[in-house]
This record gives sequence, structure tokens and C-alpha cells, in this order.
Amino acid sequence: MRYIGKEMSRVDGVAKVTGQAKYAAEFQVKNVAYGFIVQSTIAKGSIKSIDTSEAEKQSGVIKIFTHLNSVKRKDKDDAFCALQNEKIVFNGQPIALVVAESFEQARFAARLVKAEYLKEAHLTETEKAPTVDSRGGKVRGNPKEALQNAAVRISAEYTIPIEHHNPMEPHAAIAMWDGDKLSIFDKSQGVKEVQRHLAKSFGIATENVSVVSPFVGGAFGASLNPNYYPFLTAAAAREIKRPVKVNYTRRQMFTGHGYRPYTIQKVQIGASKDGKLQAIIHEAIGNTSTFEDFSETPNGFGRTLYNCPNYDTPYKLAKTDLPTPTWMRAPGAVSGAFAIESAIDELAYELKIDPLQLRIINYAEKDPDTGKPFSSKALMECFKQGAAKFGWEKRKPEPRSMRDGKWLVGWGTATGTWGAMQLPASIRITLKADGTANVGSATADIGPGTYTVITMIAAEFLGISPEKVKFELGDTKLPNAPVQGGSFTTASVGSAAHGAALNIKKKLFDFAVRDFGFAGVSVEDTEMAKGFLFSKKDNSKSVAIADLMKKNNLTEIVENYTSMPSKERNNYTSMAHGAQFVEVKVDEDLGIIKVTKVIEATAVGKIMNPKTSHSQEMGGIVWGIGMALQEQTEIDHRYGKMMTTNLADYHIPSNADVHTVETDFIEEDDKIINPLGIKGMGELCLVGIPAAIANAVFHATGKRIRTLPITIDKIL
Amino acid sequence: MIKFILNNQSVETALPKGTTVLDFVRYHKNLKGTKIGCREGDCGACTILVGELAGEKLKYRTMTSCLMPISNADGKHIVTVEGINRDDGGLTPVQSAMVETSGTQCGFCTVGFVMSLTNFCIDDTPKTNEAAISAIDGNICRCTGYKSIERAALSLCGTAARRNGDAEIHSAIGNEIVPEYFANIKERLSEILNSRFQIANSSNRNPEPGIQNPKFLSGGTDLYVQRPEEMVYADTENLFDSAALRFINETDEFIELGASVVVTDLLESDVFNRLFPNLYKHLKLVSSTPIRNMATLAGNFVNASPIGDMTAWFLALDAEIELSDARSSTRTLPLKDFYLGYKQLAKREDEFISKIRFRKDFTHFNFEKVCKRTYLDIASVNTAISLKMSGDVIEHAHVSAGGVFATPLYLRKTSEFLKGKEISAETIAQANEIIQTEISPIPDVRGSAEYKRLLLRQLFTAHFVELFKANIQ
Repeated sequence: MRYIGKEMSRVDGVAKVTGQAKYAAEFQVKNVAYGFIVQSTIAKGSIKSIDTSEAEKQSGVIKIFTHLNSVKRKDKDDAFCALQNEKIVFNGQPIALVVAESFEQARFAARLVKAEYLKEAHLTETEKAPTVDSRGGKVRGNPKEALQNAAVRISAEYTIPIEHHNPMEPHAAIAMWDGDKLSIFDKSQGVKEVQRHLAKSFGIATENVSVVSPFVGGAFGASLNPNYYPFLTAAAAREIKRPVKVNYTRRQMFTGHGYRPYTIQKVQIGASKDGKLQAIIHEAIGNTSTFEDFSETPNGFGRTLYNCPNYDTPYKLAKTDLPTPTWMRAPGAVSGAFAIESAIDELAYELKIDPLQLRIINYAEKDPDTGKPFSSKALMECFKQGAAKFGWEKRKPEPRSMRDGKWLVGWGTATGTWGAMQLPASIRITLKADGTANVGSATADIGPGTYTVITMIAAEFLGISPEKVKFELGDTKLPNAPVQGGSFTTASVGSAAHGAALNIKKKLFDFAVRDFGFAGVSVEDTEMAKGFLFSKKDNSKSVAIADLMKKNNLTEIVENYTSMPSKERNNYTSMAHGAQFVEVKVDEDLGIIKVTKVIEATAVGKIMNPKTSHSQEMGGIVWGIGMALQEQTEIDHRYGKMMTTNLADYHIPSNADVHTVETDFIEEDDKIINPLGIKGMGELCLVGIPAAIANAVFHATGKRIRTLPITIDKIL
Repeated sequence: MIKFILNNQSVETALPKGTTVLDFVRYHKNLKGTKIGCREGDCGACTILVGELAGEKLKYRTMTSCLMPISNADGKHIVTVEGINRDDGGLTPVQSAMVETSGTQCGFCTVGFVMSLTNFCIDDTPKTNEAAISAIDGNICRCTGYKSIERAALSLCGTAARRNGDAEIHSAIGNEIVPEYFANIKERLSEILNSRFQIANSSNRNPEPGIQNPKFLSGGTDLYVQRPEEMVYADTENLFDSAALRFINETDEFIELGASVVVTDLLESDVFNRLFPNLYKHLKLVSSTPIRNMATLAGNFVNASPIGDMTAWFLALDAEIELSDARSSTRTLPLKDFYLGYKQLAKREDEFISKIRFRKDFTHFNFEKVCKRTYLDIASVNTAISLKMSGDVIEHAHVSAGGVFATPLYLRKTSEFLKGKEISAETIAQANEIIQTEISPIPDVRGSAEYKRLLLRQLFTAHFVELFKANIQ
């Protein structure tokens, strides 16, 4: 391989360091007006009256939209849609959009919109809210009985607060109409989703909606579903017959796109004295809104991880007067892992077995849910390599037994896993006679390096250098691709790029057989490189690609290709795995916790680009540090209002909070998952980290913290 | 009319003077490399360089453009990423380092990091690894996990240190950190400043909705967070750039400071570094580099946050403040008497803080702070202490604490109690009991009341561990 597997700097790097990369709010659109969202100050009830007269008098104000004069959605689903009626279903709900000539004018006038409400009692505490059953997976064996019969039992409850993605870029859209045709620049993880949503909402043909989103300043799930602002923006633009831009403020983001749900999990484990798991009952409750169910099945995590014959995962949703949660990096898995991987650690102390050894004892060689083999699973190698690098064998088992001066030292471990998914994806490759190629697919690059990796794959199999490949994404004019989420982008779109390039080679090969004496050569034995198609076995068989095209009166070859997950995948379970080893130091007097070292070894198939891959893994680890120690959206339940709605109060790690972080890949050669052996990694890297940190904190202090984040007041 | 140099272009604007530099460059100049991440000075995505003539010297500092009114840009050089980009399409060493180390992922925070690191390369601080890392203390990244950006920062130390005997800015040009046009900025700024007297009188009453409060604006780092929509149109008097308010003087007895001195000025002051040997260690815990470049002492005092770091600091120096009004009548009062209740001040609306002074007769000083995050954080609890020791005996003591009362708190009883005492475990224990009677913390997102009580107890003890390691064991 010339490019795949080798380090490459990202192709969009220059645009980003020079500030030239254009994000949604940055497209220059003539005559654009600015919308500013006014939000409700109660959590439940209805708008009795809304007075916009004072705001309307302010200079620059063009129009103020409320539920009384707004565009109503044509096609209804459960998702929240702004300004549809007088009902208030969460605090911070948009109740008006002030549109003005400038952003400042719109913002100034917005504070003069006055609403009166008919208040109703709200309920925002997950613990107290009414619940409904959700999908929790099949019962395996007879967990209740097995639990009762187990020699050793533990039972504990774990809580995770609401967390917000807080990508650096606040959500924004600029919408404009040309007759019945809508164009919108949006921050999106999937332009085709936004296109479908807007077409249905306005009752117009899908092809009449164009969504463009070439750069996304982080999203982490916050732009997977179409949020409420694109419709709101487009509706305002249609009404005032001018382009309109709406940009969330940082504070508006907390109610504008969903969040990681508040989750309460009860884990009961039964084991034999030698550490063999007998039963796991992992119950979970996650909050959702009153108007829409969001389920992420946190307790599904663990079902494929441990060889445990009896397993149950009942799952409920608690209906709260809050916005609907959504997918947030490693949704479900990281929450479930915090519970299960903490509980396994608790069991290890109970049994006086090393926590890593306990995981090895219960290692699942095949999928315990289905009995299918894993298409690949190098978790055992992750354990070994990670532990060796970390120096795990020097760990003293007793809590509070290791010190560094005044600091208590704790070492903890946990395991992570994430499905290695692949979805249908289409791509178009145009190989030109001049040796350049245009590649296009309506996927997204929210930061992991999709621009770069698809460029590398196309370059590799077209036999041209990456500089000759121009890859476009984030535009509905391009072939269909799934949303960027679930860590399935490279597996899906990368497989399409690979397939399309091979088909181009096949076309050229057929020309070569017909016109240039390639008879007797098999296509598999040929390769394209440096502008030639040649046989790898027979030096005499070589022809310039330009000549092949010229002979056929072609200036380019266009290949539209759709890759599908193979049927063979159905016979296997495919997962990515990882082992985390964490050192924390705790100041006993002040309760300050430092994560001084994280060693993460992951098995995620074939690594396409080590440079961007390591970066992605380290970023995920730091997400885990944030989740473990800092991140929390606090709610003042008296008002049902989210309180920590800025980056001063909602803490995400700063660089001084991050010490030694090392990521290792154990490469797997897995040809079953897809031809290039690609698994995903963007979520896996985060999954075990919060549990590993909590386990290290226990080892350091003897305090088991079961409620995240582990703040200093919980330590003292 | 406000006049300044934006990148290589001289600009004049009659926009409302409260317009932020961020909105000015993005909306009015279409320079969109400067990003809007939070508009509250927390994320650093909108970091710019601000060049200012200080006497003969042209000095650059980073600032968050979201909290900076264009009135504070008057007569200065404002540099966005477009102002350092090379014409030939190549990258500066800072930009190259960020690409090569994979220091950019989604790219939205990237330009802020580039600007912070560019400033590191052109300012006159020593090019140590520690300084390189500190230079990015005001920038948040949500993708990379920082390690790659740290590598970029460290890789620049060598380049930045290459001086060839030139002044900083000429070295930076030679090293291709900034473009050629930076060479003339000093002269161009002098011209603007010289012509300023003619324009200073033309008042800048804007036609927009006039909000009369607040009357005075200093660094803007609190007001623009608290009431951004009003500040754009507010007709405030700018105190930030008043030369009369930007000095640090030493007399036999006192240190006197102009009220618009910013935290970084303290860090760069020889006098302060002499009086406070741990100055850097303490002040690096105060917010972040760009905010320290903007946040004035008076602003911190007037904002009256119960956990203001500088307020706690100066309360422990038993500082006095001088209040002035438009008629130039002045009065002086102890800072500890300035706070009447939550955000209530012993100050008339038309008064502003003009001067701060404190006695230099203390022998020991310490500052302690605990927060969840290392940088960019607001303390849960902070405390400062100054002592005048005569042998083992405390001649006088001043102790302050933040985050444990409705106002920044001078601990009167504790300070009084310590007078004449010898330092011992018993003295500290007794003082700690008195402290507990003087405070009344409330639970909030930064911790429970009980936790804050416990924390202050530990931090108060930490003062003595830090200052008298051997004496109290």
C-alpha cells in the first residue's frame, strides 16, 4: 500500500489553519437578515399572550415570528418544531424569532419580546418522572435464579447527569428561496437527512431542497438529527422573501439540539468464587421528553463483552419536561460501560481478584447473545499490550496502598466495545485523462478526517497521488451517504470509494484487453500507478491510462458506485474493542484529582491513517476525562431550567487537565467486515474511560464514586 | 470616529462604539477566520492579536474579540488570522506546525490556537516549553485532546527564540511568523495617535436605542458576558485606555496602581515580581492569558463577584481605592468597606475607581484557589493572606476569602485574631474556627456549602504550609 496505513496530514489542514474553511454561518449571502431566537422562561404550560410591539419598534427589525404568525409544518412527527402552537414543553423553548437587519439589532429587540404564560406544574427530575418501557434486549438464560444461586453477589446503582456535546461551532443555518426551491447552508452530520426533513416539512419535492455543509466545527451527535432551527430559518426566509441566518448562541445550544440523557443504572452481578460470572441484571432508566421517546439502550453494552450465561437488561424511559435527548459520542455504550465496568471492578475487590484478570476469566470468545463468532477480536492482545506498557503488574491490589508524596495514586482499568457497522453508501468518482480525479459523496467530516481518508483510499486504488484527488462532501447534490455517526463513515464511504476505484480499473482493463493486448492477464493481477495500468506479473503488459481513454474518445471515466455490507457479515458479530489503563493522583486534603496517565490499546481493524487516528483516539480519551471529572448540565428543578449553559460553568477539559495520553492500535486483519478491513474508532476510544477513571479513583482513595462527574466534593 | 489598523488596512468606523471587535471583523469586514464559539471569553476561538504602543515599544497581546468593544481598539493594531496569512499561499511556521502535528481536527478552535501561538512567537517572554503551553491556556479544543497541539506549541520554541539580534517584531518577520507589513505598524500607529486630539472631541452618540447604564466601561470582560445586547449601544465612558489609569508606581511606603491596570501588567511588573515571588504561579490560575490581558483590577473590584480572584488578592493587602467622578472630586476608602451586599457597592453611579494603593510592609503573601478545571475556571473557593512577621510573631495579618459569602470577604475577626500570635498548629486551628464563624457559603454549581467550608479550612492551612513549611508540623 502506498498511502493506506501511512501517516498523512489532513488535506483540509491548510484551509483550517488559515481560517479559510467555511462553516455554515460563514457563507457570504447578499441581503441576508439575521434571526435571533427568544426562549420561554417556564418549563410547562402555554403562552397566554405574547407582546412583540416594543420589539417591533426597534430600528432594524424586519419581522417577528411567533406561534401566531409562523409557518406551520406540513408533515408532523414527534420531534420538536418551533412556533407551531402555544404549548410550552420545556424551559428555553423558542417562542419567537426576531428578524432584523443586523445580528445586534435582532438580539437587542429579542429581549423586548414579552410573553405571559399559563403555567403548569413541571417535572424535570428523572428519579420522580413517570416511566415507559423501552426496548431492552432479550433475556438470556434465567438471570434471577442464577443471581440468587451465585456464591458472590454485588449490587450497585450508578448515575450519569445530563451532558452536552458542546462542539466548538454553535449551530447555524442560512436559508434562501428561489420560488419553490430552498437552499440552505447548515451545520450537519448528514445533509440528506436535513434535505428530507425540510422537503417534508414544507411539502415540497426533495430535489427542490439543497443542503450544503462542507465544514462542521465538531458535532459529536448534536447534528445527527435535523434540529429545529433549519426549518425555523427557512420558514422566516420564505415569509420575508429574503435570505435569513440563524445562529444559536452558546446558551441556546443547551436546549437546541439534545443531550446525553440523565441515566440511572442498577447493576446486579452474581459470580462464582473463582470469578466466573453467573448472572448480570443491568437495569437502566434514561430520561426523555414528554413528547418524544429517545432510547439509546445503555445496558446493551456488556451483553457481547462477557461470557455470562444469564443476562437481563430491562430499560425504561422517564418522561421529563425537558427537551428530547439525542445521540452524544458513544451513546449508550459509554453510559452502560460506566455502570458495568465499575461493577466488574467492585466485584474484583469483592473476590480479591485482579480486575484485569477478572475480565480475562470471563472473556467472550464468541458472541454470547447469538453464539456467532466474532469476525475479529484482538481484545486479549489489547489487554496484554496495554498492561505491559502501563506496568500494570506493579499494581498493589489494596486501595490507598500507592502514593507519590502527598498524592494518593490509583490505577484502574476498564474495557470498551463498539459495533463495527457498515451502511450502504454511494460515491461518484470521475477519473480524468490528465490523471486527476474528482470524488464526491454526501457524507460529512465533522473533524475525524473523512476528507483525508477518502482521498487516500481513492488515491491508493486509482494509482494517483492524493494531491490529484479532489474529494467533495457535505452537499445534497452528491451521491447518497449515511449520516456521519456511529463510527461507520470510513467503513461505509471508504468501501464505496474502494469499490468505485476498482470498477474504474475494470473498465480500463477491459479496454486494455480489447485494444492493448492484455488478453490472458487477469484484472486482479493488474494495478494502476503513475498514470499506467499494468500487470504485476508481466512487465510487458503496461499501458498509459491517457492512451486507453484517448483510444476510446474519452476524457474521463465516471463511476457511480454503491457499496453494501456483505451478506457474509450476517454470520458474524463484528465489534471494535479496547482496553484502558488509567493512573490518577488525588490530593487527599483538597480532593483535587489529576488523571496523570492514560494508556489505551484498541483493536479497530485496519488503521487507514495513523496520524488522524491517534488524534481521534486521544480526543476521545479527553472526552472520557471530561465525562468522568467535569461535565454536567445542572438543572434547577424549581424552574425546570438548565443552569450551566455556558463554557464557564459547563466544564470541558482544558489542555492543563490533560497529562500523559498514549494510544496504541492492535491491528486486525478482518476481511469479513469489508474489503479494506475497516472498523470505526471515534466512539470506541471514549467508551471505557470514565469507568477506568472511577476505578482508579477507588484504588487511590477507597471511595467508590457512582455518580458522575467525580467532583472534589464527592472525594472529601 | 474610531480609528485603528485592522491587519494591513487603516479603518475608521462610526459604528456604535460598543460593537465588539468580533462582530466588526466578521460582519463589517467579512473576515470570517475569527470564529464565534461562545461570545463569553471562555473558548478562545475568537482570539486576536492587539498591538499597542506603550511609549516607544509596540507590544502585542492576545485578546478575545468577543468581549472587546471597538472603542478599546481605537489607536491600536488589530490582527486577525487574515492578517498573518501569507500572500503566496504558504503557511507560517505556526500554521505548518498545527497541520503537521494534526493539531487541527474540526478546525473551529484552530485559528484561535494559531493566534495564541503566533503571539507567543512575537512577544518577549522566554521561549520555554512552559511558556509555550501557557500561551494556549485560553483556548479550548473539543476534538484533538490537546496533545497534538502541545506538540505544535513545543516545536515552535526554537523558531520563536531565533532572534538574530533584532527587535521581536523584526525577528518575527524574519522568521516568517508575521508578514512584512508589521514592520511599519509602529509608525502608522504613532500617526493615528498624533492625530487623535482632533477627533477625540467629536462625540460618538449613536442613533441606536440609547441605554444609559452602565456609565463606565473598562476591559469589558464581565459586562460583555452579562449584558451583551445592551453594551453594543451603551454610551459608556472608556476607562480602559486612559493613560492616567495605567501605571504602577512605587513609593517608600506604598504601591500605587492605576485602576485600569490589567492582570498581565502585574505579571510583567518588576515591582510586583519582587514583592510577590510566586506571582506567576498564582496569577496563572487567574482565568486565561487573553482574559488577563483585558481584565482590569477596577473591573474585577466593581464586578463584585464573591469569587473574584484579584479582589481576594487586594483585600488581603488591605488595599485602599480612590473613587473619582466627572468633577474630578475624589475620595478614598478601604477596599474592604467597598462591599455592602451582593453586588452592592459603596459607590455612586457617577463614580469610578481611579487608583488602588497598598502598603508594602508585609513580609509574606500567599494566594490559594481550588477549582474543577485547571485553567479558565472560576474558583469554588479562593483565599489570600498577607502577614508582617517579626521573628516568629505576626505583627499584622490580612486574610481574605472568596466564594464563601455574598461579597468578596475580608476576614476581619480572623485577621484581628492573628495579630500578635506566634505561628503554630494551634494558632492555625483557632483561626480556622474563627473563619468558620465569619463565612456563610451558599451551595451552587461549584459545590455544596459544607464542601466550601471544608475547602476554605484546607486552603487556609495551605497558606501556612506554603509559607512556613517547617514551622507548623
